[in-house]
Amino acid sequence: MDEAALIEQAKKGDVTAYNRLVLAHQQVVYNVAYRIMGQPQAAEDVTQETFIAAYKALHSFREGSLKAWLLRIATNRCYDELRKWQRRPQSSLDDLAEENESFAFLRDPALGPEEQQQRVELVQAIERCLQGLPADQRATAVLCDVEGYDYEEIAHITRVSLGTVKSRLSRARSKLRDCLQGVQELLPAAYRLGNET
Amino acid sequence: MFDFLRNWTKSAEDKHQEAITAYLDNALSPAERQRFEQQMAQDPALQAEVAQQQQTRALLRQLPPRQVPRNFTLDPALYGRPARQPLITYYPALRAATVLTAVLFFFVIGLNLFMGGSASMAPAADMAVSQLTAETTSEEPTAGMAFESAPAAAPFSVEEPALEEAASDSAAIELAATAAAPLPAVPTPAATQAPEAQTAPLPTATVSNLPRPIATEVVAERAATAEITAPLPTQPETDTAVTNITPPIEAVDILTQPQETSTQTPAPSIDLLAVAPIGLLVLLALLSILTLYARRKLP
Repeated sequence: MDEAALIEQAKKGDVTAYNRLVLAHQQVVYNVAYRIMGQPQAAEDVTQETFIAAYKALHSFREGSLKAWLLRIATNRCYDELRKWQRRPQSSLDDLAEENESFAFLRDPALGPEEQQQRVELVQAIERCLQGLPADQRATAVLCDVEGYDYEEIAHITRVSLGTVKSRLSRARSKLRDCLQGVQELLPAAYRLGNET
Repeated sequence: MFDFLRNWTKSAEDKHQEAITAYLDNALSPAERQRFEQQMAQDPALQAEVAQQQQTRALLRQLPPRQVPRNFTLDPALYGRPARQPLITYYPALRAATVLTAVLFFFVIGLNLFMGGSASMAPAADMAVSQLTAETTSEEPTAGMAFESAPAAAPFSVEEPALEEAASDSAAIELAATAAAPLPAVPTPAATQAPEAQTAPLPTATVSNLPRPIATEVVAERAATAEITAPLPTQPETDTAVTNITPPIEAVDILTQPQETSTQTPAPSIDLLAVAPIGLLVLLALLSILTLYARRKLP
């Protein structure tokens, strides 16, 4: 059954049809939430809230991409949650990011222990740099460079103009470049950034 | 919408960085891309910057996707049919209505200012006519009718009592009429008043904003002075001084009558342009509250 038909059925109260849509999109929603929040538990909460809110507001979804609509809800939830964190700082993101458990997914039996460790460190370094960005720039960088959306889709998801997307992305990349230059030793040789500017 | 403003205030460095980003994402137009590549061919520093950005981008793409820790499906027992939420559904319409109302509000405010400004430029004669027309039409139909025919009757050929009454009813009307109507064939002192009426405009906004009785007083005063200096055109010049004296007395009497009645029952004059901004402001406030509320309800 195609997505439009599932949406129509879900609008009529068919939770099973809606759950099929959830299964189709939960991966991307969770990943975007995780990259923006930087914490698996927070990403999990945001993802669940996103699907609940989307179900409740399904009648307001008219046309277009359901995935983009879900990501819009998810990024808004992330912003809300980050604002709450700013008001009531909770546990340090760095501490949580360093939990080995959260990087268990990176373990690859084909790689040796040293390579695996390097891989984990690389991912940690990139994620730490991402977390150093302001939330709006982080969301833009995640959507463009991690998830591979184009400018127009990002503008639609984040409800900003195309010019704002370009501007945020450019600033985000400049800051990421500066941050990654500071952790050169962790980067694979092919990705070491030159020092000349 | 305000991208042009952002572009205008952007620093050269910001524009430079954005050009690199857009180049890497294939977001430049063919002409821009060609220009950028030409620039890059001549500038090794730019080449290095592009390479760095490209590596940064590639690193981010290296991030492996995370597996979901669990399924986020909803429990059918807990979630029934999604309820319709009209505020969310009609949020775009609400937002558009708010913007439209705001535009209309400022337009009406602007119109009010413009009308107020242009009205103050109107000559006193026009003011007197408009003021007294309102009074005569609402209170004294015969006088009003006579006044309407006054411009046509301004030449001295007419001797009807109604016209005499009209003339004595308000000399100010005549003053005004002389500004618009053809001047009498026989030169009278009224003719000398005409330029004064034309060149000396009343502060219209003030007069129109004054309570009616006060405005009538001003007009009556002017009428009385005009009567003294300008004999009625309906009276032949060969008439005795008695006829020249008596009409002003009548004029004053008649002019004072509407003044009294107007103090008892002021004519209701609702200025739509004055009321519209208030109504629009109230509507704008309501729509803004609804839009903000709907926005908060958005998922």
